[in-house]
Amino acid sequence: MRGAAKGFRVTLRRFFAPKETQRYPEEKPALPERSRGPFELTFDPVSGKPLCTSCGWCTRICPVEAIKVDYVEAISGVMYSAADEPTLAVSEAEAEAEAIDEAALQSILDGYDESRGGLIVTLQEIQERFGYLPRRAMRLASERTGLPLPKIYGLVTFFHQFLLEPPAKTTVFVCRGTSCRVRGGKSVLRRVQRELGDIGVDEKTADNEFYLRTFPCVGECSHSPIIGIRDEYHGRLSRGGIRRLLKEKA
Amino acid sequence: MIERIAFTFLLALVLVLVSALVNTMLERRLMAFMQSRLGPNRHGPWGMAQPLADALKLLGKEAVIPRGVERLPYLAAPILAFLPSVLVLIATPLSSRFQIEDINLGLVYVVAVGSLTVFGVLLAGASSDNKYSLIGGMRAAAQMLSYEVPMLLSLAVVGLLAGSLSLSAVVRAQNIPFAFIQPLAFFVYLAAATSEMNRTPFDFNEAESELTTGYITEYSGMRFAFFYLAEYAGLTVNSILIATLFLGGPRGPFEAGPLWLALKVLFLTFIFIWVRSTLPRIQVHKLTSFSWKLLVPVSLLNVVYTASVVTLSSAPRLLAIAPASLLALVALGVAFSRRGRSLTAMRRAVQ
Repeated sequence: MRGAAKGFRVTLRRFFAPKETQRYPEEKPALPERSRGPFELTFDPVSGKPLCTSCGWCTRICPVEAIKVDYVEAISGVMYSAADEPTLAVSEAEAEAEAIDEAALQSILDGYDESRGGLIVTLQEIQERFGYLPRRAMRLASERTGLPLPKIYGLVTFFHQFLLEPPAKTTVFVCRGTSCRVRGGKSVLRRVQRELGDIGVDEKTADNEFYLRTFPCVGECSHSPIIGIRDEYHGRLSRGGIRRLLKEKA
Repeated sequence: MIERIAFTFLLALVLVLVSALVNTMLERRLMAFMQSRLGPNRHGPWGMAQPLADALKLLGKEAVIPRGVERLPYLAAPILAFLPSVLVLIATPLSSRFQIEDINLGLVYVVAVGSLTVFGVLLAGASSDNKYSLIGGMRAAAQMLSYEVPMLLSLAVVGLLAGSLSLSAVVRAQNIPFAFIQPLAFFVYLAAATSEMNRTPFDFNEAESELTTGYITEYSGMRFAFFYLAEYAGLTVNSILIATLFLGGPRGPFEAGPLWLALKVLFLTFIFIWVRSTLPRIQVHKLTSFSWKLLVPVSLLNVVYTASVVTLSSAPRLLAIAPASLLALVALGVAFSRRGRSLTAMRRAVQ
């Protein structure tokens, strides 16, 4: 009898609570920075010429090698020679910014072994050592494994755990899984954002102390909503609990 | 005479059809809201044109008659399931001045006609030549044996309190709505009505997860729509009946009228939708045991008690009956949850 009453309370509360439905054509979802959508040939509104110069960069960067550029003079009107093709050379500034321990990187890459998980394990080891995946590391990994760089980029951006730039001192994850969402994950995210000075998702705090990210699902649904901080998961935190946790780990 | 009958019938038919359409919309939207969704909101303001779109779609569908069905009962079943809603509506007072037909045995008539729906369901199940349909139909028949008795017993209580079997007299007798004088009978009737409408937690004869859609399985197009309409018309008609029997019908704080009735019906419809989106379907045999072991004996005692108070005592009925009825209702709830607890304890002991 008490159980049934509980159920009625839940449904009634849901009745008045805001709804989860996204009114799609009117309300577009905010796409993550790394999302890749379909592409189209756009034209210069003034000249009417296509903005594509058939440079071929897109075919290189596409992680699944789905793009092939066929050059048709009637459309383009501009011809590029092979010499114009962009190269993967790193600019000096970039190389300087990525002053990394080459020897350590090389020894990790030497341990690459297809039979024990292959590239993902190697990349995990690199991230463990450097905190993120430096460009140079990915380039060397491409040479070591023989996989094209775009493939590696595709793999790295597919898994949420890989970071492409140095993280802040502490990374905070908020889970966005279904269970967490139903149990108030959204307000937990808002709470964390407020505690960190109203930063957005995938942003760092000004003092470079915290890096806020979201996670698709951490599989700890019985404790949802989940906050991950460093390598720990914390579930069912109160407002005060969130503040205390962030202070403690700062 | 014939003109009058035709007019009466037509009026009730229109009322039932309109309310059924409104109900499909209400149910889909309200249930969606209770599940953190928005529900159909694309056609017309707030999605209100959705039922029209549904109706158009169903009209355009091919009416398939599967091979192997028994044609006459198969074709008659949807109409038979739908008709009782219209017939019940004829006898209920819709305002203090307007009642299509005031039958002096209204209570008896309403029960007699209302339970005809089951025949439609049973016929559909038996004639469809499909095991799911057959099981659905048989379940409907078995289910009726469970809910009809406590339903009648709580109607008897209403009759005793009103001192008459005419529905307009029942309304006139409710200076205080009977739901307050007899919460026990009110609750029993609500449970029985949920069962009569085949709504969760008692939707055994459709039981999508067990029987595909039970007795409707072999129906398509407009014939399917008729069953669908029958269910949603049943929702309104049962709500009107409950409002009439227990909530004072069209009477309100001032000026009795259809507005009060409409508000009460909306409230009851909300309750039924709320129940549907909260409770899962119980096991088939549980309804039988719940009904025969709890509802029937309690309702029988209730009838005896109410009858003795009405005939013997000169004290105001509210004071004499309401506390006892409320107490019995609470005891019923406690007994029910106790039993659940002892069952869990037993299961634990076995493990």
